[in-house]
Parts: sequence; structure tokens; C-alpha cells
Amino acid sequence: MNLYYRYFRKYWLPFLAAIFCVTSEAVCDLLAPTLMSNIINMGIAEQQISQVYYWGVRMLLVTFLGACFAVARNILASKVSQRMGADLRYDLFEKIIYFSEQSVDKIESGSLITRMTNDTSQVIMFVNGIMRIFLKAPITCIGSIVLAGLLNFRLSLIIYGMVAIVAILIIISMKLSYPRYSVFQKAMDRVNTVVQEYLIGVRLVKAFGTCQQENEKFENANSNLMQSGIAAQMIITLISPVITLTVGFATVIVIYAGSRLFAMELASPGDITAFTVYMAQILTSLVMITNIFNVFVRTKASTARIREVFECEGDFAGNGVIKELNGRIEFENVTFAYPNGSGVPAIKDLSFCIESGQSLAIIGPTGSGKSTVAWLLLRFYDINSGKILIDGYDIRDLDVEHLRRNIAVAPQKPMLFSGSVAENIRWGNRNADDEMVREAAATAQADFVDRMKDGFDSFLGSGGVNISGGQKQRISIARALLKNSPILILDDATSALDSITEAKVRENIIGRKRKQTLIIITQRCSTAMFADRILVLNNGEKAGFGTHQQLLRDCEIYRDIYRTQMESSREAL
Amino acid sequence: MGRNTAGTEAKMPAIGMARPGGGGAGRFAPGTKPKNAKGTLMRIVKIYMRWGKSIFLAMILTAASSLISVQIPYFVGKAFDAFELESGTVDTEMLLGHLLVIAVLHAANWLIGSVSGVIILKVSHKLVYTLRKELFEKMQRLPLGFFDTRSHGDTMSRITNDVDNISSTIAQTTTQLISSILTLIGSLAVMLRLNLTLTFVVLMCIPLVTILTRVIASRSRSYFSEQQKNLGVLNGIIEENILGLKMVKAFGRQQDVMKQFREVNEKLNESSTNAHIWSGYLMPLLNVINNLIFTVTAIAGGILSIRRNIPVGTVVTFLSYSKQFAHPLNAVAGMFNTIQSALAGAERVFEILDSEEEPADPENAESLDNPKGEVVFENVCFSYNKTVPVLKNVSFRVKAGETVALVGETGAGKTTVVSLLMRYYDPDSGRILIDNKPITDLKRSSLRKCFSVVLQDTCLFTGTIMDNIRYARQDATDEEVIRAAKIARAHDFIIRLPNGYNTMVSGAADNLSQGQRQLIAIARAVLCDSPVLILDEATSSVDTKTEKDIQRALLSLMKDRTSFLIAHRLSTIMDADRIFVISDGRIVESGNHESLMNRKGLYYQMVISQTGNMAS
Repeated sequence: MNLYYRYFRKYWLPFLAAIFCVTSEAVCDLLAPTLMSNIINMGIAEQQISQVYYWGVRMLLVTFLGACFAVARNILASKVSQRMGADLRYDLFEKIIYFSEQSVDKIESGSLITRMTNDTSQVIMFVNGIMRIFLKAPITCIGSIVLAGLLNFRLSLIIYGMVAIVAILIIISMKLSYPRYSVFQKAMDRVNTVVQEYLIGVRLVKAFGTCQQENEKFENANSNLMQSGIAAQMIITLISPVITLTVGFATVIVIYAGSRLFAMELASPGDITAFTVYMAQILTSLVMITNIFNVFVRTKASTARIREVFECEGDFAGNGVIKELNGRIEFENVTFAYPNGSGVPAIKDLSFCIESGQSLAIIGPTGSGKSTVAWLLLRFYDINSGKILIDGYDIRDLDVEHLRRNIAVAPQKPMLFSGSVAENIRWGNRNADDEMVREAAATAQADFVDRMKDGFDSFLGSGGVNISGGQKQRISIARALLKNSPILILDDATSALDSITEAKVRENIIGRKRKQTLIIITQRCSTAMFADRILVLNNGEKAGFGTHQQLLRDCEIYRDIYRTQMESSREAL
Repeated sequence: MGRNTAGTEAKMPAIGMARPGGGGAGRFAPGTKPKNAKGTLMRIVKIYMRWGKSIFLAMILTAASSLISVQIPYFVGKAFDAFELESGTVDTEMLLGHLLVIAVLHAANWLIGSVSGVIILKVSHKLVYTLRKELFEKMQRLPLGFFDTRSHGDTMSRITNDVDNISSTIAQTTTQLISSILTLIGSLAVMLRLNLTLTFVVLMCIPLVTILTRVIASRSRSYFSEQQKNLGVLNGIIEENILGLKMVKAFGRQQDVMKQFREVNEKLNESSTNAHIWSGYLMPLLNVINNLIFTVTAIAGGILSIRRNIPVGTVVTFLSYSKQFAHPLNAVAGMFNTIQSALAGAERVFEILDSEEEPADPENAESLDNPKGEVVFENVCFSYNKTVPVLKNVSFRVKAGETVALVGETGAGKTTVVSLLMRYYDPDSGRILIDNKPITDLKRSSLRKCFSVVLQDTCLFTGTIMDNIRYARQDATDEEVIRAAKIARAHDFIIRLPNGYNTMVSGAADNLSQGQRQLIAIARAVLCDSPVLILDEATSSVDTKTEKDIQRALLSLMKDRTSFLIAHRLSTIMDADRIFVISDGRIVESGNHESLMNRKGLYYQMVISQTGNMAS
């Protein structure tokens, strides 16, 4: 609950004011039946019209007062809850933006997104509810019971009995429904999965001609959903009328008992009428309280998830040395295991060195640690042992932000953002002029942008232009190129390009004036061949390091890769 | 970005449960407006009519229940008449008589309420079930173009959310509507019978409630609409920055992102605060009106009872009716909005049901028994959107059993050739023939049996490995499945898994590597044993051993089978019987590897750029 406490502290005054208003509002609501009974008892029954006016005016005043409190409460509640919501969202998002990679690995992106969207909404809804309705129901309920008791203690015993019975009914219905609802949830998930898989694999279905099967699969899931849905809702459908019946019978009993008491001059018709109204109010509040429990349970889960995010670690702080870097990279006996993984090192005792301006290709099968090298260079994680040096400086001593300013990366998945093509490319250098942006695009063979309707102003993103995977990759490369940093990393960034285009990009980059240290991470031998040096990784260990010719001669793994990719395999059969 | 890639990024809206406490603020949430409200409504009514008898029964029961509920306050009032105030005694017989009636009415209501509740519950769920079933069956008949031009998320939303909306909203709303209207009419009838003046007093609430609802509804609707818009933008920012967090860090964009977020966040705050404030006026003010009418009724009733001796019971009755009156009115007002949005949802559902299907088989459609796999393209021209031509006059003849590799730049037309062959689309002009029969003359079901496919996206579905391999041939025995797995070089790793062939696989790749999934997909194709194989080679991450396995598996698969490969690996291309070089929608070069290399044309250039003159 510390989460709420933090924000409540900020807005404690309006929050308390809202609570005060809710309480007052509830009190006003509760007075109504009493005043009503007075109108009847002292006015109509006694044929005293002045009494009717007297109590009538009071009733109006109370109602009006209640409405004022309600409106004030509404405005306060809305302002505070939405303001709190906005603050929570902002703080949570800021926390995530400054997350360390370790934290991102711990809580996956999909979950982070859900927490930012659904869970915050849930919490906001709960806070909103507290200030609007949630407090009112228990107050009204308890208040009604108390007032009924004050009005006529004997009759109120009947109310206690009724409340007890209704409460039991509600608990029974909740207990029976919950497990059924989880069955229903699973059935929903199943239908979702079937449809989702169908949509993704529709080509397959049409090619294999398996329509009949898919129909049967869906039929199973669908009818299951129907049955579990009916089962889940059946409980409340049957119990709800019973609850109403209970209240109805209780009313009858109250009137009868009231008549006995009336005969003994222990109750008046006005009392009895008021009682019927109190009972209706109690019923409504009890149902509302059930809803509150539902929401509370769900909110508890959301709160825990949000708190987990706040407790995660942030990225490395920027407070190190700032030195000009040229791009000489050295790995010295580097060992690293992902903090949230299985403990098996992704990189084992890796050592290599390339000079500033040289190109290095890192090749190896999946899971061999290639991308890890890039993330370590960017200091997304700290290594377990060994050293990573740039121009002789240990990257742990360098200022993190400064370090990252000196490294540009084009990742495996392009990761572009909503905005124009030019805006995306400018991520590399927000002060670049149009000329520089064009030049970067040209180097990355992204001249298709000129052929687009709005050119560099074309909007990328949902609702914007749809571009192919290869085109995205080229824009991502242009973005990295624009940064013009001493170190440039291409992580399998040309996988969607055909070989001719890829070759051109490579030539363009190498042919640039500024000699960048180029690291190309790839699976393709045809890409790696052209680098000054090739680092062959296998299971996180260095399996070979040298030029293409040297490796063909000395490294069996490299030879294997080359043969598999470049030579005909008919002979191998 | 990357939303439409078939894969884990696509966020599917799931069927959700109805959110509780939807009254109040939610009622004024804007639905999209339906375009043809009346027509859609008629159609929905027709669908409901399939359960005509049950619905009719439910309606009658609801009506009965409302009428009963209306009577109860009347009898309660009568019960109070038994209280003789002057003497302080009670006419017990009369009282008991009335109380008995009230108890019986309550019991009747309970019975009716339970039965009609169950009926409506069952009918709503059956309706949803049927609509979903029809939607799914319809989807099977839709052409590929339908799926390619819509986001998965949108289609999913229609099958799940929109259908849900129709059922839950309309079922409950209709019964609520009926019971509200009947309650109003019934109450009105009783009140009129009792006392005209007091009835008039109570009726004063109608114009008040109407004006109030109108004013508040329009204001809050516009604020809610804005809230939804801002929420959409904010969620977009959240999603893309979390998914692209590595780049945000690598390019040092944190502050820019936070600035962007703050702007939208504040806008959202403003619109949602206003929306809540405005919609929150409703209940308190309704309450005021309620109690105002109550008080005025009490005053009037009091005066009348004093001046004209109207029994206390009557006044009490009126007071309880006056409390009852405002609620149905409010409910009806809110219903209007929810029905609108349900209709809008229904329209989206009907849009799918009305979509154009794949052309049906012609009357004399033939069946292809024992297809050999000879493929001919004759002057085929095609464009996806009928403006930009993708294939221009493509013609070729492939003999049965030949392996053909299609190479070319991205977007040159390789996938299109294969899509047309499988009749995902029909060409704009020209013919495609299999075994000398035009594919348009064949039954679709028969045509589809000719193909096995291994695509870039392996598309396994949730089920065991055995089920997945068996997918295209349900009648295959376990031995046949294992045999196919052995040929596909998948058997070895499968038996090493903890549950072997019964290992559960899901659509989202978690427990198997990409390479392993590919092998299973190949096994599936092997089992299918169709005369034509379509292979879209994945360039994805596989380790060398698995890569070798895949290559050998593919070679076995392609033996004696007409195969069309969209190839990326040089080694696969070199092994093909024939290579078609496609550029700008035309086949510009064709021949085997040696002859094309000797030509020193486009193919030669591609190979050189890959190998740097080192090709054997």
C-alpha cells in the first residue's frame, strides 16, 4: 500500500475533503427516510399541514445540501484521482525509460506495457472509486442499520436477520462463481489462441486445404466457451432473484411485526415505511460492496505489479570520466552471464582487439553471443570478469552517456518510431541539417525515400506509410550513420536486403571519409568475408580470429559455415 | 512499428469479461456511431428470431415481472390502510390478507425472475456462439486479399469484442428497456387510478430528467471521445518506446521521450478530468430531482390528505412510486447510448459476413486425381491493387519433378508467382495450368491437395508435435508420422525431448528453437506428400548442424517432386534444376547455375556480390 501512500501524501487535503463530502452526502441520504417518516408521522397522520411543511422544507434543504456535497465531492474526486493517475503514469514511465537492461530482462516488454496501461488504469479506477462510491456504500449500509435501530430497535432485529441472510447468499455466490470464472477465462484464452493462430497461418490453411479441421477446432473451443460462460453466470442469475425475494419477505415481516408493535403503541406507520426504505438502501449497498470486493481483488494484483516495477534497478548513472575516443576496442578475458538467465555464461573468457578504423565481423550461430558483444560495448550490462577497453580506458570508468554518444548501433530489429522518416534518422543527431540526413540515407541505399509521396516527411508508424522490412533496415542504418560516431555496430542489420544492395551499403560505409571502427555482426559468410578481421564465436567462446583466408585454413567451424552456406550440398548427401 | 509482422509483436485484443459498475460514467462513453442503424437493428432482430420461442417467452415473463413489481407498492399502501390511526388498532384480517398477496407476488416474481433470467442467459450465449461460428466459417471462404489488407488485431476485435458487445448489451438492454417501460406504464396506471393530482406532481420529473440527461450526455460524450483519443496516442507512445527501449538508451533519447509523454499525459488528464466531472453531475442531480419530487408529493399529499381525507396509505403509496419513477427514465436514457455502440459493433461484424468470398467452384469443376505436378504459366499479368503491375507477362513451363529456384530483389515478384500458383489470388490476365488443366477449372479443395508448403513463418499451432506434423493429413498413422519425421531429420531431436512426440508446442516460439520448428514444418510437408512443394526459405538463425540437417531434409523432400523455392542460400540455389531470375515482374534469366554464370548477367552479379569471386 506504500504506493497509494506516496500519492495520498501529496494530495491529502483534497482527498480528505472529498471523503468529508462523501460522508456528509451519505449522511444526508440517510436522513431522508427519517425525515420522510416524520412527514408521515407528524404531518399526515396528525393532519398537521404545518408539520408537513416543516419537515418537507427540511427534507429539501437536506437534499439540496446533499447534492452540493455530492457535486463538490465529484469535482474533488475527479480532479484528485485523475491527477494522481497522471502522476503515477508519468513516474512509472520515467522509471521504465531509465531502466537497466537487467530490469527489462526481468520484466518483459509485453508485461511492462500491460503494467503501464491496464494496471495503472485499474489503480486509477480504484482510487476514483474510493472517492466516489466505495466509501458511500459501507457508510450508507451501516448508517441505515444504525438509524433503523435508533428508529425502532425491535423492528431493526428483523433487518439484522435479513442482512445476515443476504450476506451469506452473496458470499456463497462469490465462492461458487470464482472457480467457474477462471474456467471461463481459460476458455476465452483458448478461443483467442485458435483465432489468432488461424489469422497468422491462414496461408498455410489455404495451401494445405485444412478448412474442415480448423472448423472443428474452432467449434470445440467455441462451444466450450459458451458452456463455461453459461455456467459461470448461472450462479448469479439464480441467486440474484433469491436475494430480492429475501428483501421482499423481510419487508412483509417488518410490516406484520410493525403492526403488532403498533397495536402495542411501540411503532408508527411512519416508522414502518422508513424501514422499508432502509431495507432497500441496505440491499443496494450490499450489492455495491460485493462489487467493491471484486474490484479490490483485481486492484491488489495490479498494485503489486506496479510496485514491482518501481522496485527495479535503474540504468547506470552518468558520472564518469569524459575523454575523446577514437575507437580502438579491446576485450580482455571478458566473461559475462545474463543476470536473469540460466547462469550459463553468454560470453566466456573472450579476448580480442581491433584498431581504430578497422572493420570486424563477428560470425557464429544463434546463441553464440554475437549481439551480447554489442550490448556489453554499450554498457547495457556490467561484465562479470575481465575488462572492456576503448582507447585504453575501461568503459566502467567512462561516463555512460558519453560512452553511448560515441557508439552508433543498427540493431537486428530496426526499431523505428512514430514520426517522419527524417525525424527517425535524426535520432542519430538532432542537430543535423537536411543535407546531412540525405547523405546518411544515400549511404544506406535508402533512396527509395525520395520516391515516396511525401519523401522524407513521410510518416512512419500506425496509420502511416507501410514500408517493407528491408526498407526499415536501411532507415535504421541511416540513423546510425548520421551519428557519425567513432564506433559503428551493425547487428545483422542487412538480413532483409538482397545481396547486391547489401554489397553496395557495405562499400558505401567503407568508402566514407571518416574512418569508423566498424563491427558487423552477421550469420552470413558472404558478409563476414569482407571485414579486416573476423571473430568466430561458438557457445560464447572465441573459436577463431583472423582474416577470411586465415580462418578458412585454420578454423574448422568457420570452414563448416562457409561450406554449408556457399557450396552445393549435393555431394554431401 | 512491426505491428503487422506475423509474430509475437501483434497484440490481439482478447475477449474480455463485462466490466462491473458500468453505470454512471461509462454510460456516456462514446460508441462509434452506426452508419445504418435501422438496417443493422433489423438484421440483429432477425438473428434473435432464430430463438423466437424462447425470446418470446422471456419477453412475456419480463413483462409479467414488471407488472407484478408495479403492483407491490400498491398493495403495500393498502396494507397501511389497515392501520387505524385514531384508535391505534390494526385490522389484522385485512392486513394479513394484503401481506399474503404481497408475499405471493414476491414469490411469483422470484420464480419468473429466475426462469426468465436463465432463458435470457442461455439465449445470449447461444447467439454469441452462433455469430462466432458463422464468422469463422465465413472467414474460411474469404480470399487472401481480405486478410492481407486488414490488421489481425482489427479482425480479432470484431470476432471477440464486437460480438460480445452485441450479445451482452442488446440482451440486457432490451429486457431492461422492456421492464423499464412497463414499470413506467404500470406505475402510471396505478397512480392515475389512485389520484390524479398527485400523479401530475410525480410526472413533473419527466421534463426535468430529460433536460438534465441531454445536457450532461452531450458534454460528457465529447470529453470522453477526446479522452479515448488521447489514451490511444499515449498507449502508442508507451508501446513503441518500451519495445524500442534499447534504441532509446543507445541514442540517449530519454529526455525527449519523457517530454513527449508529459505533453500527451497532461492532455489526457485534462480531458478525463472533465469527462468525469461532467458525467458525475448526473447521479447527484437526479437524486435532487428525485427527492424534490418526493417532497413536493409529500407536501401535496399531506395537504390533500388533510383537506380531502385521502387515506394515509395512498400517500405512502405515491411516495414509493415517486421514488421508483426517476430510475427507469435514467436507465432508458443511458440505454440509448449503449445500443448505439452495440449497433456500431454489429455493423463491423456484418461487414465481415458480407465480404466477398473467393470465387466459387464453377459447375463443372474437375477434380485432380493423381496429379503429377507439371506447372505452366501462360502470359500471366497481375497487380495487387490493380494499379501497380507486379507481374508482367510471365510465362514458363516446369516439368513434373523439377526443382525451380526463384531469385531476385525484394519485391521483384517471387512470392507473387507462388501465391498465384496456389490460387491465393487470380491473375489479371493469362492462365495457370497444372497437368494441363487451368486451375480455375479445378475444385479448390482438389487444387489445394496438390501443394505442401514450408514458409518463412513456420506457423505451428498449439498442440503436440505429433498433431502438428499430422496437420495436413489427419488420417496418417503414428508410424507414418515418425517415418516423415525421420526423413525430415527431426526425429532425433524429438525423441530427445522430455515428452518426445507428445511435447506440447505453442504458436509463440518458446520451447523450441527456430531451427527445430523448421524441421517440424518440413516433416509436416513430407507427410503431406503432395506433388508440388512450395518452399520459402527462412534465413533465420540456425546453428550449422541444424542448418545441414535442414538442407539434407529439403533435398530429400525435393527429390521427384516439383518444387518452387524462393531461395536465399547460395547453396540451395546452386542445387536447383532451373533458376528463374525475376526482376521487376519479369523472368529475365532462366537456366541452371552453370549456364547462368557463363552468361555473366544479373545472376552472375548477384553471386559475385555474395561470394566475391570465390564461387566454385
